[in-house]
Amino acid sequence: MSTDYKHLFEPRSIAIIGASHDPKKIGHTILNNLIKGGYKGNVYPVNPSGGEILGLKVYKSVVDIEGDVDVVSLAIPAKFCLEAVRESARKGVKYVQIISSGFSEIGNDKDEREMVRIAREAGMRILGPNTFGMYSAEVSMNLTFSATPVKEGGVAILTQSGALGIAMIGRTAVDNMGLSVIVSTGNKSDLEEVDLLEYLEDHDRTRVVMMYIEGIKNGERLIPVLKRIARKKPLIVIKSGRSKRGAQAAASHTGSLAGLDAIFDAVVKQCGALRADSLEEAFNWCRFLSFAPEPMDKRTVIVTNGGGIGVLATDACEKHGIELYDDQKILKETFEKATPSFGSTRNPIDITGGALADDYMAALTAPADCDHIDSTITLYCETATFDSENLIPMVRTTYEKHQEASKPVSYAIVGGESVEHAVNELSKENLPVFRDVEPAVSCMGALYRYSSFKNREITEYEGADIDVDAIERIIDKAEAEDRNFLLADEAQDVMRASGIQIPESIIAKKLSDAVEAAEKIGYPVVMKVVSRDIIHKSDAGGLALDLENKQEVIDAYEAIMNNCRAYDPDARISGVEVTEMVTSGLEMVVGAIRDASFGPVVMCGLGGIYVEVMKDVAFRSFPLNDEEARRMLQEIKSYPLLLGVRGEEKKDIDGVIDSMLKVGTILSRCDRISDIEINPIVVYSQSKGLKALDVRILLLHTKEEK
Amino acid sequence: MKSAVFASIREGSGKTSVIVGIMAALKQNYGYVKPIGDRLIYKRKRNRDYDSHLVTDLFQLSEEAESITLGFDHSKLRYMYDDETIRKAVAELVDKAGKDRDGVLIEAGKDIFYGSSLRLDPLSLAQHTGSNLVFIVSGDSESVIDDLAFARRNMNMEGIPKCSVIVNKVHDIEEFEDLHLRQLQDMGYEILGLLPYKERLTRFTVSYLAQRFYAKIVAGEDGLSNTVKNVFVGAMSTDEILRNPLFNKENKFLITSGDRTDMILAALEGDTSGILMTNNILPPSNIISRANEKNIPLLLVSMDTFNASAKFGHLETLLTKDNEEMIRMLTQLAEKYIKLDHIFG
Repeated sequence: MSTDYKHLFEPRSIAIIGASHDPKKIGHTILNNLIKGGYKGNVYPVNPSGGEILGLKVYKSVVDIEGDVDVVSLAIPAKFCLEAVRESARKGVKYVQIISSGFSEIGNDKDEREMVRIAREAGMRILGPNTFGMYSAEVSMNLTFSATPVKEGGVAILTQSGALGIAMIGRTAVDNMGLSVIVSTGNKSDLEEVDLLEYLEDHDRTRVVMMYIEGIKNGERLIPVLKRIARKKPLIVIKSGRSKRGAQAAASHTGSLAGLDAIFDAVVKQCGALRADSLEEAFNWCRFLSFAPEPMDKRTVIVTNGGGIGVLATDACEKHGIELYDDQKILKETFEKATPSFGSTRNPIDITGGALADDYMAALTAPADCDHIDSTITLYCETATFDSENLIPMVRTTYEKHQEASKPVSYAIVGGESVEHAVNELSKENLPVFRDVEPAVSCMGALYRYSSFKNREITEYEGADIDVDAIERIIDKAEAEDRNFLLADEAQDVMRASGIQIPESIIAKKLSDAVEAAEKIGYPVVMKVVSRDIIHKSDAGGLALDLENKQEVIDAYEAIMNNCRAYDPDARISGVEVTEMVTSGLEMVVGAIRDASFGPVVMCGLGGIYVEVMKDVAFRSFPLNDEEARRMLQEIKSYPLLLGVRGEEKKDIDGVIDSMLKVGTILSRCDRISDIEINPIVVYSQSKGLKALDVRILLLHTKEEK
Repeated sequence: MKSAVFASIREGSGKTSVIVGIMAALKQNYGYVKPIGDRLIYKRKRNRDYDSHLVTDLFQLSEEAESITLGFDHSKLRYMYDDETIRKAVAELVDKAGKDRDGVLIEAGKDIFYGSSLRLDPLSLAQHTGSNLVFIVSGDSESVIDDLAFARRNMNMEGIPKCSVIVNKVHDIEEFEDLHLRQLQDMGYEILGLLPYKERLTRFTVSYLAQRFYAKIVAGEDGLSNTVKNVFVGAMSTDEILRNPLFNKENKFLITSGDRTDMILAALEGDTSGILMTNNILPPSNIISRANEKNIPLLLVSMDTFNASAKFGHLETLLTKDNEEMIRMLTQLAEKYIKLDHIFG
């Protein structure tokens, strides 16, 4: 099977099966686009009627072509595709691009699978079916039926939607945004985004990668590739739809909280990709990130001629995680000359509504030249006094100054006709000029997020030290009893085997043992009945809390036995469990689930009984290292509670991280477990650690799932 | 010191109710102990017997309910006492209860055998303390006669000063006197009284049901002393219920799932003493408000309707402190039908 994607993106020869004389047919458009696009390799139109199309000899079959063929494009009805794939395989073609539709997207999986089987046997790969084709600037190959010519540039687009892909070509042309590659993945019968990304990873021409995804087939394979690429070039993702897993009613909180696309979102973030909410945002980011220099540090200034717009930008900066520089002394020194006395040198720098182009020039040259400032967001509100004719030159010059200083800058210019004209003109030159504050700030935020991930030190996590054999034995026992969950004491044993602290507990078969156990554990203790027939212990009066001395233990034992016998005279009671009484602390939830696409996924958040109401949780795919786990914790709204509020001591954050890594390790090494949830895991101050109070472990339901 | 052990041969003879009636009727200062408990209440990390708690509370005895019962679970009692120390413990219990009082009523366990292995059965208690033994018996007359004959013939009554009988829940006193009284007297029992059957004494209060079901009281707390006369299990459509004559009976207690809001609302608008909502499903706030307005307790339990109904079927009637009508009736019955001055004499 070919993994040399160079033959796909930089083929030396292409055959178009279904090439047509009729300009209304796709087969004609593709051939025409290929020739007009300036493709330099050999082009072989294939059509049983033979003859000549657009000056090229037409072959009756791909096998009749004399030379080698790297890529075949199929633009024929679905019913002929199988045979065309067979012929291509016989010919030794390396890649087949199937434009034709009528396969799995309408339920015809059989033919699609058969084509993939034939291709694999011949070491051939398939793009599509149901794709609009692909473009590669490297060899000027426009093998699509797009109506718009593609402009060469540095943005690579991978799209699962064909229609959207064609629209994107049109849009990039309008925005004057050049593309290095655009590929429509279609039904993804064989080649997926992850394959195409492997080519783009070291593709010098591609400065930014943008992906439109509807569903992920093999998330576990995608994750490392995304991580690698995001450290080399900005990776922008737009995803629609929801994960299958999330749509299912889940048995654990972790499972149900993982609904919607929370996992996808978390994984994208973890991989350093930038997730855009809309096409508009994605295109803005692509354009900006293609040309913006990477900032040296996080010190950003806003330069504005209006207070209101400055406040809007400040709010947007907070939303996008942009740090505003606030060293008043340096700001005053830097901007004093460019700011009138009634303006402000506090960030946002307000050069006032009376500012002219020269004033902007001075105010924007200052940050470009200042060593203490790393990036600039420029705001302009159209005023009657401003010399509008100088707006475009001012933007060009100050942009150049920032580029020379290797500092990013973005512009939000708001106003009427002259402003509209300026935006249109400057956009054609790919200058980062926007009609509103939000996109100007959002672009800068995306750049900072990319830069932060790229420069992050990455340490590989090998997994925690857990006793896998002991856990497997526990699972064996549960399976032997035909259970798809572990009993409470089994789940506790898993915690012990993983080194996650649980409250100390002893099973006592008689009263004297219970008293002895309580004395050994130390008061206060909790006592609960041990009976496989009594599931709801508190309903049966089988639970006693906060027992502070021997007499209370004796009474509680007597009460439990008495109550449980009254509750169910036939219940098999094997004793009582005497457990350390856990004092109150911060109740967190730590869990892990096996996602159908991304594999083991770890969750943490605010726990207790309100976990599903608050939904204050974060996800990451496993493996993740200490630092990523820490970032995950920092992401939840309740993080300040871990730091300690109102004079409380800081909580055992390292302990929580350790537990997160351990549950992830359990799930990754014990493949019969589907869900683990510790809720609550009570977290105390650093010196006191934490305790896993309630642990639920679910096993995969059926042999098929395993 | 005057003392008497009140014992039943079979469970459910109405021993505690009779004792309450006697204590109230005696109008003197008597103590009460129940060395071996059988209806355990676990509250504030201590165990107390339901009957001990009722009597101490009702007659405002200075002793705490926890202190007049040695224990419930045999394993616990064996862990704490041996034959010798248990005898001493019982003697101390009775001595303490009788101090500065006119006498002590000692209530035995649930039946004549209960506590035998610990020497806490009624006969042992009477022998340890030198008390009179009073059998409280009820049921069909043949069983009553058989039980008392068996006890007299096969049980060692040595050391017990006097053995007497109170026959409880007698449907036809005249007939019993004509047919059986002589026979009992011939066995050597003194007949202290025959108490007539009263249907009203078999009714539950809602507070008692709340306790027995370990229920959460969601609303209508002021109506916990409501008496239950009829029980209705709501498992059909509301239209059917409204047509059902049982649903329209007075003082009914409805058992239904918490999500049957239609049925709960219908019950709240009728003559209902209380509602047990099963499956741990809380009804909407308007229903809770309505129940509060009408003082109809809503009790919430996690068990399902079938199990709740089954449990209800096994409940025994127990006297509660708030059931003043029942206490008044028991007192009147004791005054009228029991030879109070023969109990200790």
